[in-house]
Amino acid sequence: MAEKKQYNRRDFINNSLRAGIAVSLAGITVALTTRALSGKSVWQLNPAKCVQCGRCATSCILETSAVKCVHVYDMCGYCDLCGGYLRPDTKELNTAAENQLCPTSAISRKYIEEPFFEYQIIEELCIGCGKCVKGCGAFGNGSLQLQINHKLCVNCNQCAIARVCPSEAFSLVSASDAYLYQGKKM
Amino acid sequence: MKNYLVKLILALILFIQAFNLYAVQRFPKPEFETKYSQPTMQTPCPRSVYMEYFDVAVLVASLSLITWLILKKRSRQGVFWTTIFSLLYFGFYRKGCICAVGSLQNVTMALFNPDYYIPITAIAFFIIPLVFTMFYGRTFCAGICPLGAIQDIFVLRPMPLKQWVQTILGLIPYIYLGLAVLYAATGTDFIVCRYDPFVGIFRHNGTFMMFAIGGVLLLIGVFVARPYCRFLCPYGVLLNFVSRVSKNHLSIAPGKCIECRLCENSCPFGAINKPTPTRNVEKRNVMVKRFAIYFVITPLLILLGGWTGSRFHENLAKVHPKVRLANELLLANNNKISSLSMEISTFKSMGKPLDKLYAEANIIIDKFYIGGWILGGFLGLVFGLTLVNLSVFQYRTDYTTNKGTCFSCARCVDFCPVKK
Amino acid sequence: MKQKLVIALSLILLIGVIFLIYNDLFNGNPADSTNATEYNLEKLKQIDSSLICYNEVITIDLTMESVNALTIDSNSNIYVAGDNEIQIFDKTLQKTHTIKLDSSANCLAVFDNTLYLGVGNYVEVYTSKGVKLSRWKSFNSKGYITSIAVNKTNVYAADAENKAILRYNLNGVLLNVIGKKDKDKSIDGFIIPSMYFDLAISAENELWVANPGKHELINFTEKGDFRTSWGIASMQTTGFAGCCNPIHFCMLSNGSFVTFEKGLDRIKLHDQTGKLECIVASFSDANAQALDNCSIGARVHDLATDLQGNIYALDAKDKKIRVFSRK
Ligand code: SF4
Ligand code: SF4
Ligand code: SF4
Ligand code: SF4
Repeated sequence: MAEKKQYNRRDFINNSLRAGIAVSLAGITVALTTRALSGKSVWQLNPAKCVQCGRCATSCILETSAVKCVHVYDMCGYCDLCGGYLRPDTKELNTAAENQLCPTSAISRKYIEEPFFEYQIIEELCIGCGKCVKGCGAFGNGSLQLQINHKLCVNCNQCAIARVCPSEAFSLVSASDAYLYQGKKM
Repeated sequence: MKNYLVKLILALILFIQAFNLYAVQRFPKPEFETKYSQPTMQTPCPRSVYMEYFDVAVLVASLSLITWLILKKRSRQGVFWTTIFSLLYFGFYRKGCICAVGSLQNVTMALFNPDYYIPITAIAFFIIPLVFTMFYGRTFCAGICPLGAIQDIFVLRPMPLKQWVQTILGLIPYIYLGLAVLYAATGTDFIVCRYDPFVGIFRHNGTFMMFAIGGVLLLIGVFVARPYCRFLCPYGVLLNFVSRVSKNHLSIAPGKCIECRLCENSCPFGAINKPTPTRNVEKRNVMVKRFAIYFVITPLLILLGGWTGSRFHENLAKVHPKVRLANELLLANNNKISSLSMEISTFKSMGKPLDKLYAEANIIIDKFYIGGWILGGFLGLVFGLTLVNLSVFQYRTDYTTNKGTCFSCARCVDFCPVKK
Repeated sequence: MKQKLVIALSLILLIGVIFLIYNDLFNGNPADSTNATEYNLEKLKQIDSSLICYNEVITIDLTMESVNALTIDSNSNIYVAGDNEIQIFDKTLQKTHTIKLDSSANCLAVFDNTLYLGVGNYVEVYTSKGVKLSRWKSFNSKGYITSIAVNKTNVYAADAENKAILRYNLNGVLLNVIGKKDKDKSIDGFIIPSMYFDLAISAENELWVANPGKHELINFTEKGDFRTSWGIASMQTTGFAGCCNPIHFCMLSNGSFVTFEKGLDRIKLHDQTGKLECIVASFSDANAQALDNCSIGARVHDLATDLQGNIYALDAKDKKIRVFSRK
């Protein structure tokens, strides 16, 4: 008899606690879904803020960073003496590796016509160090820019580069418009 | 009507003009004489949002399946295969992201920071396991959570821990949860994701530190079953609490326990409550007294904890990058450090006034002051309740699962001779 | 016994892991402060200080969001174009008045109390007091005027988008177009990778134009015939650095050239033949600027000189006019 009574009391407490939990879960759900993102958000960096500190190459949780250099061809001057391609102290102008700025030779240069050259990033080789970005920004048009490549990025809950980026260049953007490079057609 | 059309066309032309002007102002295009077409830019699209919804569907489906297997079929084997499935899907295929454990930070951040827009999937991954747990116990932990799953298959030579060791180590998740909530609420960082031990393994990719922690935990897990779940997981704290009041929790015996003691050592996680020896009943008076004392002590513990937490708020706040930067700048301006860090030189180049940074840092530190009180108070409460719990006497005649810590893995079920 | 040992070891490891996390969270450095792949522009900017032959004597602070261009008239009044206005300073460096414009002028020139502004693809003419006199018909819709110069008979406007110099008379009648690619005249055409295309008129009324993509300055006759040119590409002080330089230049009364190079941010003085004479100034700036929309890499947005031979540089980063005089 006594045992049974105790049991009922415990049941009652359990039930009311459960009700409480249910109410709070429902509360959270309602409060958040009303202003939740209907789509999806992904990390991206804003090249206008980036100072090419080199951390994009080293801080991504992936072994080779998901941040890559992209070439915004619309902004490129197709220069012969590309500030992003050639090392500043080159003696002779040729495409030998020691003349290239990129530490991994990830930029390929192609002659188009006098005096224009096209520069393409070989994505597999690029480590996202931003060296070429700095050169292009200083001497050229700034058409080489760092961006998170969404084929590679696993979209961490908290991007590990965002945590250490000294220029606060990282933010969450809508997945339907996932790139922030400058000179984008609007 | 015609008028309207003309206007529309005019607007369009203007729009295109405007765009042209904009483009023009910046870069004179080279005039190519040969036929040259620009390559397309390398900007691949992210994974589609429908795939995220699909993940939610898989979560619900697999949770329902495993719950059915545990409660209706009582089949350890079924649970095992579901574990393998979710390890492959949520672990290796989805690369451990998004996960319920981490989502608690997204939810916290969204609750405290109105500017943060939380993806629906993060809410779903946070709520759905809790809802299931509310009704059926921690079936999510049994084999859906990828972090639990990978540890579960490493439970090879589990050894029982002393009760007091379990209780003390069992306090760590509360601290971890408290810190995770504090840092998410202040918008500092998602520490649970930062120190997620197995995500590197799921991605076959990661830093040495990640692999080291993950590997060591799996190694420990061979002997001390599921160390992350039991002694670290912050989401487990919530599940534990909700599971205690769950409606239809797994029971070892499907019918009446016959106290054969066959299951006594079957749980690798030490989550089986033994029947209480009558010895304890005699000391009941003493226990009531002790209980009363703890009841008084608990509020004191809360206050003490809060006070201690608030003493340390500046140390806690230093994890925030802005506070850290402000501190460094303060030191640099007093010439206490000579070499400028990258943060400082970048900050200087951005041309933001120093006062503004200091003001912002102060606001954050103030938040941590309050946060320190709450965190400390919360931990005080947890310690208090743990003490109370130790002295609460529960009369038990049967072997039962400890509803809070049981992962519903259904290992014990196979040991019970009672069928129906 | 063995079991106890294993458990104890495991628990020690577990505590170790927790300590690692604790240590990383509270004492760890967020990231390395050295950049293994750093591209150090500062090193390139370093120059021998014995080469510097000018002193910065004075600076004028400007109250503008963006500064575009600068010119000085024969009475040493200074005109600065920026935002949607022109600010005028007299020779005592006091601001005398401001002319409001409808839109932003990219370049300006002054002659005989008349202001000629390059605004988008057309030229506007104002009196120096700010009365709008006329707006000239644009050459074509895509044009973009980056520089303008005037003498007694001609107005030359450098159109970066059309890659040509437009020669007008003082009433805005287009006389001819100079510098278009022309095999017969052996003119290769201008190479203008970015929106920098400058020109100037020498004291002898000769037209000089920068061809930044070829790192040279070219002298044309009024009719548009090629006369002479000078300049080489080089990171050394003797040449012009990067892909396209010099981006701005002006001429002193003795016929020597003052040039500004983006990227290395240096102002140099060359004699009449183009030989480097000395360095006017070099902006070392340990904190590289983030890439910003239009002024990529260019610290100085215009150069000018007065009758005394002082050199005025429009510093777009600090929003200042810096005045240099010979040592
Ligand atoms: S971490 Fe930030 S500043 Fe550094 S390279 Fe990446 S985006 Fe640029
Ligand atoms: S320099 Fe660095 S960022 Fe540029 S292409 Fe090479 S690896 Fe990529
Ligand atoms: S979100 Fe993760 S994978 Fe993507 S760039 Fe950041 S750290 Fe790398
Ligand atoms: S305790 Fe945490 S990590 Fe373990 S299975 Fe449950 S939710 Fe996953």
